[in-house]
Amino acid sequence: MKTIRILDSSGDRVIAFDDTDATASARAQAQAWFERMLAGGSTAFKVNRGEGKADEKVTAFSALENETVLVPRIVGG
Amino acid sequence: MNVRSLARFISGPLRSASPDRDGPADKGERPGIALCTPPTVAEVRARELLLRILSPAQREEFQSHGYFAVDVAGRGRFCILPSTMFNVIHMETGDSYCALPRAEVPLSDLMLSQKLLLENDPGQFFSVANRRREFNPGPGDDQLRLADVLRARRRRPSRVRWTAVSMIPYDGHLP
Repeated sequence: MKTIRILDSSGDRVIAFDDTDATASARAQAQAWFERMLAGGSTAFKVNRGEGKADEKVTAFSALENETVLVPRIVGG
Repeated sequence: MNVRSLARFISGPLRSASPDRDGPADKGERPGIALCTPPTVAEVRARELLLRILSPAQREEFQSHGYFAVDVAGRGRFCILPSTMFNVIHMETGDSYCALPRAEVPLSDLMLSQKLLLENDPGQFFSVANRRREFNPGPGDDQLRLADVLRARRRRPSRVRWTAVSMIPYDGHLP
């Protein structure tokens, strides 16, 4: 199961999906969110990758691994 | 029940629960604040996520000091403080940086965002971050220096004078 965590005022919103037909709807929703947020300036990172792998920025939905954090667009404060 | 007895009814249990009541144990940390502002559900959730994603060394540092350090390729070591403004501090130069998610997020999510960006996409962070001088660099204990920064921020008054508020909008707030 793969998860996308979108950081928001509630902490984070989680969308879980995998490559089976059973979660096709969740997968489509996840892809729509992912692409819309990246188009709006958000940034996605693969995290908790296991085997000592470092976190990594990701831009393609097909390259997502087990857990992804979507950071909303950042601005200077 | 009249107003006076209602006030006594409410204030009695609050007074007995106040950390002020039991003496000096909490005096250094602004007693009463914890009672009035418990962490929100969102902050608890964000903190759990942050702790899960921090490296073991960062987690240990965060749990013992409240902040953690990140190494940024080609730029050096930065400390991320538990604060919402100018909380990313470059220890070598004494500069602090401010860049935060446009959406409202809990403090731990803000710190997580900054960690992920600094470690994996520092160009994006520094392209939007504002910078100011926080302290003069030089020989000394970094931990003491950061503790001083945090203490100074806690001392700042909670009220903001109108003269301190910028009237110039920046593009982050424009539609």
